[in-house]
Amino acid sequence: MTNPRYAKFLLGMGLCVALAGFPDVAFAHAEAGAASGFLSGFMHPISGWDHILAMVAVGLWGALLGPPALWILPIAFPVAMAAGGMLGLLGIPLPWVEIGIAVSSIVLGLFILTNMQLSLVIAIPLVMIFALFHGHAHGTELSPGADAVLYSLGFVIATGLLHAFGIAVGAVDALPKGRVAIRALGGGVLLGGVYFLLGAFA
Amino acid sequence: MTPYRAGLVLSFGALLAPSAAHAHLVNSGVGPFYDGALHLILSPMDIVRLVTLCLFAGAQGPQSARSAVILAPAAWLLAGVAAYAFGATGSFGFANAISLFLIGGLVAFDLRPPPAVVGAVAAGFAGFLGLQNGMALRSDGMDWVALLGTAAAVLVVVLSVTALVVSATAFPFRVACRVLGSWASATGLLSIGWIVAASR
Repeated sequence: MTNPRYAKFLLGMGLCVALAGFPDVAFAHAEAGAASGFLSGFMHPISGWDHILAMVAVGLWGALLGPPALWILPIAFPVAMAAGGMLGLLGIPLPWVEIGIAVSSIVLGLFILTNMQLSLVIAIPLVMIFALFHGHAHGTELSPGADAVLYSLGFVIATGLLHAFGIAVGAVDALPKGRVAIRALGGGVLLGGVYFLLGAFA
Repeated sequence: MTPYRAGLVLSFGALLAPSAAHAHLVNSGVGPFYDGALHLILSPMDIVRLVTLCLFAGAQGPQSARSAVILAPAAWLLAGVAAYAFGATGSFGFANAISLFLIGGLVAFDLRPPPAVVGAVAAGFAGFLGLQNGMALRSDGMDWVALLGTAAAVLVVVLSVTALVVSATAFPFRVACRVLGSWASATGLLSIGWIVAASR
């Protein structure tokens, strides 16, 4: 701790952590369960690698496609996923859900690997179809008892943040070897999809 | 460490040292007016819906936003007073989900209705929320003055957020608003399925 500014920064953070160690009583009355509803929803999309891979890949592919796909795909995906979730909640069946989820990773990974430049007319419906599969899988797994709106809010925000993470990773494209790194990531997503597809058939 | 940074660190530390928190049944210690204001601020779903409304109103430009800024708090207060006075009761989970889906969709699709329609949507949506707040405040046994505090908080939130959205014309900010709108819409859509499934 030789740098005085660094030392002061650490001291300040230490004080914050120490203050955080003195919580008082919290009476969350009518809103009891709200936090658990939001957190449960937030954790749901990040609870499985098959979902994480595809959602990050959507952001990454959007970053490769550039505007307006960069922001239209992350707008379309959560809405279609919510629609799929609604179908799952209502018990309306959707065939080949697990296969669809795995194929979404394979296709998106392939697009990133090959830097596929599709038009929005194709890209948006394709991503929305993938989102339906992911949403349906989540919808059939949703645990009852939590606050519906807060749970849904947490669920959607987590999904959006995964897209944002993919877009942020896509910024690597500006670096000298960035494109190679991104294509390698696409290859990783593809392999992950193949693994999940084998699991779906197992 | 500069005084500014020291202040930041101390403020952050103070935030991490919570005192007794009475969520929803708020007791600010400075009277029912402020209890009402805190009631709104500590109700996450009210804030989410209100902010979504502000995104919609602000995205329409200054003229539409002005009407929404005036009409929304007024409608909120009127509906809240009516619900409080008449002791209205009811459950609005499904209607809440649908309204969030629709208003979020308007933001996400960047639809631009005429100012009169924006004002009507703002008044209707805010009135609907105010109605529920009036009912909640009465059932929580809070003084009617709390309604004024709630409406004042609504005015502050609507003014601040709508003004921010109107003034920030940069393209990335507009995109961020639409993304937030799509999140709100998706939240509403998923909630509709949830509520219908739970009612079976």
